[in-house]
Amino acid sequence: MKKQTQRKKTILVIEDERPLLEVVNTRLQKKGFGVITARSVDQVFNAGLEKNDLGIIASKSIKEALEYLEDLEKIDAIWLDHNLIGKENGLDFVKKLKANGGLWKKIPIFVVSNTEKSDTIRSYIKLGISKYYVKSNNRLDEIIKDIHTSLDKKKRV
Amino acid sequence: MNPLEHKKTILVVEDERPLVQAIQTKLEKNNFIVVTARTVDQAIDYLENIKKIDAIWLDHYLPGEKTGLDFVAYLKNPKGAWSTIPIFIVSNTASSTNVRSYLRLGVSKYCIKADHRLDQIVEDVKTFLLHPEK
Repeated sequence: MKKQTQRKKTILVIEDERPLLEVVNTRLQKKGFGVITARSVDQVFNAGLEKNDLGIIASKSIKEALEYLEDLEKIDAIWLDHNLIGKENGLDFVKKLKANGGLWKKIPIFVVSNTEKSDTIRSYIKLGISKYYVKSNNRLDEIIKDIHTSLDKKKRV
Repeated sequence: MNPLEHKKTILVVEDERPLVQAIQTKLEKNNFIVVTARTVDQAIDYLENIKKIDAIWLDHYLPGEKTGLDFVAYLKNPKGAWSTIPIFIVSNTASSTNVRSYLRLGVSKYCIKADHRLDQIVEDVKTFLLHPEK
């Protein structure tokens, strides 16, 4: 019998291509995750996140937005695309997260990107992300399965 | 009603990042929804997962073993679910054998990158999809 008491894990998905964002959202929900989506770094830090009945949260600073989100919901992992809407890319996002410290610093980040450039990948790894997937080398369902597995493992340790 | 339902989704299969970015921006400005892939296998994965793709923008030369021609041959299989999706080839290659092969397979249009401005190609795609009678 399945345990019902376990808290649902929440993944923040940041991806600019809407059709892809929708597929990932649906797939993760089917796997039993709660999902919050955003299409730009700005959207995350201004907390303009799209989530069921969650409206827009006005926030003056990144720190305030992060604190608000921490109170609101624990985010267990981040699915991050490199190329995003606006000026900032995934790398800027990771830098901001790590610089803000607190709970956010420890959230596992899975980068899922079209970029195969080794210096970009290296910069991400140096910043301490959990894993980097090149989109064209991995099927969507494989990536989802892989993330599911690694989050599951983490829980048992 | 979800405003996204009026918009058409285009799968752009192209591997040069600056070009992808330019195409994406122009298509989005023209009210299209864009999803991009760099290889044929990635494009097939997206077709299988994304329910509604209305058209495909395709380059001939792509990373990996498969070219645009392999992709079109696969898509145009009459038993498949994707044989009716309009395909626009936007490529550098001008070899007449390739062009003929694409047209024989039933692509909607073949544009040589060097001969057409992006704006013009976007405009052509738009006309084709929104006013098919023209």
